[in-house]
Amino acid sequence: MSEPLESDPSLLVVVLDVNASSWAKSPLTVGNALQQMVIFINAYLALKSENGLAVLACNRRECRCLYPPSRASPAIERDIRVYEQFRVVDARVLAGVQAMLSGAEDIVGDPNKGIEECQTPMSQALSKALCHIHRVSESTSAKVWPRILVLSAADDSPREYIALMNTIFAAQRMGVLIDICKVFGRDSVFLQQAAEITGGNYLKVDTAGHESMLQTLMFTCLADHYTREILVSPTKEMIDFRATCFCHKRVVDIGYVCSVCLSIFCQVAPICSTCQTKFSFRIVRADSAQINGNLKGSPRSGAATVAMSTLSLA
Amino acid sequence: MAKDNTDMVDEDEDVDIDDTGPGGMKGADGGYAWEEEYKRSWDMIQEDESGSIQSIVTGLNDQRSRKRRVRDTDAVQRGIIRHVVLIIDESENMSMRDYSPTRIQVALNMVIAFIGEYFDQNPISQLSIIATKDGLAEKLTDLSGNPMDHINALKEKANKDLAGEPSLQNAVELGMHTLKRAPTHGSREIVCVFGSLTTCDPGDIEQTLDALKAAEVRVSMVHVAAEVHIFKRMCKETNGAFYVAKNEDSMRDLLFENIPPPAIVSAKATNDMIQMGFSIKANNSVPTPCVCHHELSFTGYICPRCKSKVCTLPTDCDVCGLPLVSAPHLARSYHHLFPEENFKEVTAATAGIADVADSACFGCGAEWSECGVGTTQTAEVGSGAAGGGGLGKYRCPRSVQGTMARTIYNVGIFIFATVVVVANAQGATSSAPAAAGMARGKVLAECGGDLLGWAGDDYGCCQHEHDCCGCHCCHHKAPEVTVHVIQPPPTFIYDVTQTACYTEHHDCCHCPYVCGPTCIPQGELLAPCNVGRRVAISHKAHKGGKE
Repeated sequence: MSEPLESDPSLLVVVLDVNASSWAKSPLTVGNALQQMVIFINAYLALKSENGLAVLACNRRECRCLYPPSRASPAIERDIRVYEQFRVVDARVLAGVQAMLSGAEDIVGDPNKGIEECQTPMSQALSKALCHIHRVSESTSAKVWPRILVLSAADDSPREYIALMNTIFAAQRMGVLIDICKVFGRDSVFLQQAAEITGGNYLKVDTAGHESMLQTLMFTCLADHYTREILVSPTKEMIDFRATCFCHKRVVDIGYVCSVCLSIFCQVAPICSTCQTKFSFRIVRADSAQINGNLKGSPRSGAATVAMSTLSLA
Repeated sequence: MAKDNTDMVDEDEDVDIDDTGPGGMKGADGGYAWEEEYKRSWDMIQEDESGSIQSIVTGLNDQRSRKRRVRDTDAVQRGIIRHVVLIIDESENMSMRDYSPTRIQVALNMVIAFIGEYFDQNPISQLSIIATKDGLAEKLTDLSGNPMDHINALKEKANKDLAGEPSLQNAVELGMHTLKRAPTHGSREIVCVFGSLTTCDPGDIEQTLDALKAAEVRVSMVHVAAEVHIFKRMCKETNGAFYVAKNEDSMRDLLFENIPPPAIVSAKATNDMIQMGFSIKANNSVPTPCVCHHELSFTGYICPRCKSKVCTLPTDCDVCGLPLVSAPHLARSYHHLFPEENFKEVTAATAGIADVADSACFGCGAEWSECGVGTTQTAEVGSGAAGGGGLGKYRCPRSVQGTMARTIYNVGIFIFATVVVVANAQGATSSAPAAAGMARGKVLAECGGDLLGWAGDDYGCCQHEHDCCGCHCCHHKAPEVTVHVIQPPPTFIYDVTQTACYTEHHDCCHCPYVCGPTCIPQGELLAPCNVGRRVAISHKAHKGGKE
């Protein structure tokens, strides 16, 4: 991929998490966060006239594209005092979020109280964002540098782990940066990985401690691909990419992985608890793999010994 | 030609070169290809009413991209941990200029692209490269998991000098020796890129062939010139695939067929626990050398066993040999285990009334007219020439509203296979037979109980007195496998791992359509509809296994 130039436009997809249940617990109100986000979006649009924008909002139930608006959506009254593009974006985003929040009240009323109440299916929103980005970059001849900004308040939804990881890898392949702005709650392990793998920033804004979300966004997420090469991004905390074992949920240094389903265990087991595979009575240690190979087939031993010696040299 | 891997295995006697059909040399009407009328590719391009050929060209392009998009989504056991030896023909024959600039240049570019893609899709697999020329085979790189090593090796020396004849036997023997020390739980494959019509061998290649079969090494070949009997036979008898590339594009497609891991057909394959190290990233204030390249660097990954520093993951520790990975690498391999289903094209026949009214792509939100996707009327015009017969819309196979069967990943920290048993109001039309076959995890089928019997109301929700989510007959509960019993909304789900009963609002994929090739990036698994997939890993030998 070529180097970004200063003149290249960007394409920003903002993903707003409007899960009513999780915002209810947040010290920052939705309205306040939304105001700050709209200011940020306006700043982004003002940076370069060619900059592209899309805004998605998602809650537990659905994911809507708020901007660019679909043709069916009603026109907005003109206002001569406000810059046209700002006005359209602001009105669409605010109205859209409002509609989604009011629609979401039904959910709060139903007996859906559960673990998943505070979870948002982020993979759905990110998938849509990537589809949009792919479409725009296919349809324009000029180079556009895409990135995604996620404003997240909800918890991770563990059931969508695979979908989310697939999405993250797709973003990585497409060269899309994913910035995460987490305003409330625990650190999101999944979204941390998204930022780390795609090369974006993971920002945890301490809104209770009077940190300004807008300021954080302006200083880190406003920068385009070109500028980011010059800027020093906020120090990333070390993200632990170690895995957790399936059996005891412990973080493991040296784990045992099932060769069929890739489940991770912290100790040797005769049967994989995930896929019920019965293991042969040997563990493949890296250093003993060759010896095991030797024992399996009779005519192999000579060559394998040679191979072993070459391996240790390599 | 671009068939998926399953078809390759049980492909019959002939490999079709001119894509006329499974009969190979035999044409569509049963005669030989050379007896057929010459097909003129420009005949199929016809102007539409407005005199434009734009729609036809778009249709053809769509068809091409669609062809590549279809993936093998069978839930079979695959050799996720692969060991592949790439054999590259570096004989004089590769200097021919029928590919531009030369065969070898094209082949090397493809191989480099292949290596990148291979490690991207199979991060915990290994690769080795062997070159053959002058009747000899030379190992360029040993089995290792670092793509840059292989790519650098190819860039450095390989294409400098082409000489003599290739030796298939020598190369394959060397490849076999390389693969012999690969552990038995992984797959062993040889992928050849050849341009010669001859092979210069020291001994009886039949013996090599027998040895290959005995060692269960799968040989596949992409030939850039023509079909050669012995090459093809070797591929066929080892369950591999033999392909002849027609041009640069088809060569790329054919070579890339080898990127998804093939199903395991080996009788010798074992299931093992593999010891792996999960490294921690190190940030040093002073640069320290890495053990792999002996270069000074500030960052690196620390081997948890011997505490030495390597510069990239995944790799094998150079000091203690421990395979080092990180959790995302394992996650990257999951898409072979839990494949997303292919989007199905919507045809005029299958589209419902609501579908026609639907105005925009679900994925990217674009209007159909913007995507060049036809409505029902225009589709018929386009389909005649394009041969697709579809509307150009694609639908997630799980988004059919009438079908209640859907699956939810139950995720502890990663994933588990789940099986959904459908209980609909009409009665027992559950997916149970399929589920029984699929459920390697023996989901509540320990007692051989009649899965169809579950489809009553008894299993609807936890308020019932029954041991819900347990087997009707033996009350067996599999703690790690969850059965979601789904009824028309509202649905009750009992999640064993989280020991909580809660309802699942019926969010069956609302995704009506996406515009397929236009919006979803090639080769990626995006699920705009965000619905989990029914998954189970069948350990049964794949169809078309060893005869």
